[in-house]
Amino acid sequence: MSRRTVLLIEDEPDIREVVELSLGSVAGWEVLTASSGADGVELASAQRPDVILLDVMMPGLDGPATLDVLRGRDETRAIPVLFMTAKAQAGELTRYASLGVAGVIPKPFDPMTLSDRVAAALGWES
Amino acid sequence: MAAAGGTPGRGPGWVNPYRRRGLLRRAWPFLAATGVAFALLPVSATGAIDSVDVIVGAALFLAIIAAIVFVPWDRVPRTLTIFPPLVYFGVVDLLRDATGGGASGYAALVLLPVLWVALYSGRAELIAVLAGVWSTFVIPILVDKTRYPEGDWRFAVLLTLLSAFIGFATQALVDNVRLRARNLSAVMTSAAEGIITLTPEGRGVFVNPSAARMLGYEPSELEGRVLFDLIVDGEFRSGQGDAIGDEHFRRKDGTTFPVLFSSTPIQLDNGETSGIVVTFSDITERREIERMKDEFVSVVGHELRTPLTSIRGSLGLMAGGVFGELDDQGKRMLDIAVSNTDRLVRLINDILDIERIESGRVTMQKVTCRSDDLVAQAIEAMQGQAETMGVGVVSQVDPVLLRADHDRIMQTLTNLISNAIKFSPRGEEVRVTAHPTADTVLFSVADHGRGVPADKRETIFERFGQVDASDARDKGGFGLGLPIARSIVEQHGGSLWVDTEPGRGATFWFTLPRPSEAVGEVDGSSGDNGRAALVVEDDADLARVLRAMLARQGVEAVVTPSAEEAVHLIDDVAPVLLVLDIELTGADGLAVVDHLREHPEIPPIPVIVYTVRHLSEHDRQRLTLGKTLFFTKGRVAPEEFERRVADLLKEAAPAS
Repeated sequence: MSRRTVLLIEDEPDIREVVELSLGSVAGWEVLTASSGADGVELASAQRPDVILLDVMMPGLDGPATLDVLRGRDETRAIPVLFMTAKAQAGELTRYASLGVAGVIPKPFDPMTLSDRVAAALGWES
Repeated sequence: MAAAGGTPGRGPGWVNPYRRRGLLRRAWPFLAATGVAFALLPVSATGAIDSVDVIVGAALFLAIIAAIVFVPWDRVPRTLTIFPPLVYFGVVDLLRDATGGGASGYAALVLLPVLWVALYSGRAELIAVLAGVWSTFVIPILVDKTRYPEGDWRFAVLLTLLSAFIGFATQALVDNVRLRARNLSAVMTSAAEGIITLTPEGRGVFVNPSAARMLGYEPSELEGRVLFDLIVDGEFRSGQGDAIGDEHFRRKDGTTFPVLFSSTPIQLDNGETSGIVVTFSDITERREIERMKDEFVSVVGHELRTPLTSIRGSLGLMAGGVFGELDDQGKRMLDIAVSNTDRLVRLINDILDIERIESGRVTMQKVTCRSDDLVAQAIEAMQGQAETMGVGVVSQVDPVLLRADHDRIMQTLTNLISNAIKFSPRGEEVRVTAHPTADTVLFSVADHGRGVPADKRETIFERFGQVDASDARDKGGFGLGLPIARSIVEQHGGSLWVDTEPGRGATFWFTLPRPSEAVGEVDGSSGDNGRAALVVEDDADLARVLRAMLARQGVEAVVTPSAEEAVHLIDDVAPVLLVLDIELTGADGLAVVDHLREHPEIPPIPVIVYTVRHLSEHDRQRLTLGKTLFFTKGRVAPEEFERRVADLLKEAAPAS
């Protein structure tokens, strides 16, 4: 299997860095990052990653709105999306799940097992 | 006319007895009695009537009436107000003189001015009038001994005493009533709460200034008016019981505001209700504070977790050896940092959780589940902890179906099992059971730990109410798990309690209501015997309102925020009614109706559609399947909505 490519759309630079290290150094995936929903959509169209990790609460285009745009574009429609959220209440998780994402990863997460969680949500062999 | 308050120098509380307002109501018994006295002249006279006396007396009486009506009493000295009653004694004397002098029955008329002054004037005026009574009898004796014999002295003394007694007794009674009324009125007028008294028909009798101010009216505008329309929804009950509740009241300008009110019937001694007292306070500010608190808690939760994500992530990478191996002490320090970060996150989650559950803002997403599955999954989730602690977990379950929020009940069970494991000595066993009773499923989690001291059996269910302050450190909890568990169970309509013997262990019990006919029927289909409505609504507040409204109609609401889940729930719930919000995140409400259309095997379900936008004819046609009602949010009064729902349910009842 070729090297996995993951796109992280996250406005917090510190969290971007942690995820880059976690999925890059630990799991050995290729990690693309975008700091806003709009940038993320462009990057996703151009690079066609295997999965998009999408922060829910962002200024400008937030997670659900970015998801809408991704779903509206032919190039990005089929890319699985995982929400990452610090607002992980039971009710909200159900609600996010109903938006048609492949899974929700609550923040904070354990960087040593993050790739396992992503793989499990997508049914990948890790 | 001058204001009723009187001019300075009249003494405090002096009220002009001849003020226009209510004058006829006060004066008519006196006018009537005097009128009857004149009318009876032809009947009562024993001998010839002195017509000059009668004419002069009548003229004097008319002069008194004219004076009362035309003199500007508010501007003349107070002492002059005594003249009309005193002059009236002249009328009495003339009538006596006209009808036989000392033997005349008209002497009794002296009681009229005594009563008038006792009721409407002061102490000094009463004494003056008693002097008038005395003179009325004494002067004729002194002037005309033939017609008024000496024996009339007795008459003068007795009638004056009688007048004094009646006068003073009446005045004492009136003073007492006035004092009470004044005190009561001072209390009601100065109260910050709104106070309104109503007739049983809802007409305002008394409205205090606070009530008028909150409602944007003058008190006089509300008195005498039917006030039921000030209530946006519902009504003040005028029945036997007291009512307390939340309502919205409408201001004069049409805006509304939330109130906390209580209404109490005013009961007479004979058991009849003479009216209603309503007290209320504006809780706009309290609502706003609640909303701000919720928002604050939510924002803080998010803002705390964001930096914690970076901290936890960096620490995790270091502890995982991504940047090279540390020595043992360094590893140990990192482990402490990681585990305490995790602990902080759990604490934040628990605090947010309990805030939301206790405020009732989290709706329990009830689905049909099996008691044995719940117990097995909870034990499996806790297996790791049990093994670490060297504690066994066994279960004994009679499988039954129940309707519960799967995740929340799992949370409850895992919390109780985790506690039981923490407090069990190594090598002991934790026992989990679930058995059906008549109308509930009874769950228990028992340990053989140290138990709960008698004085802590309730405090352990309070926030941060651990048995021992050191437990937070030693056992790794915050004292929030049990309050959360109890709230979850109570939101399901069950209860949670503990049986314990200190030193020998504790058993935590909780009940969940059970759909009655489905016992043992564990085929996965709906076990609901009651009627259920499926509410597709993503606004939690609105969902709560709908749930309460449907409950009043005897229908359980199964709420889901998404159209996708609604489609799955239709088979499970077999709803008698579908309440559909069109504007949902994700697939919209139209998708649910499309699903019904595509599956003709699903029995017809009446649908209530409500929306904020105007629906096109095409949308309406697409939404109309069987019996369908359309409402626009905010346009329909809640009571109207409820009535239509009730009608729809009545129509649906025979089919279900």
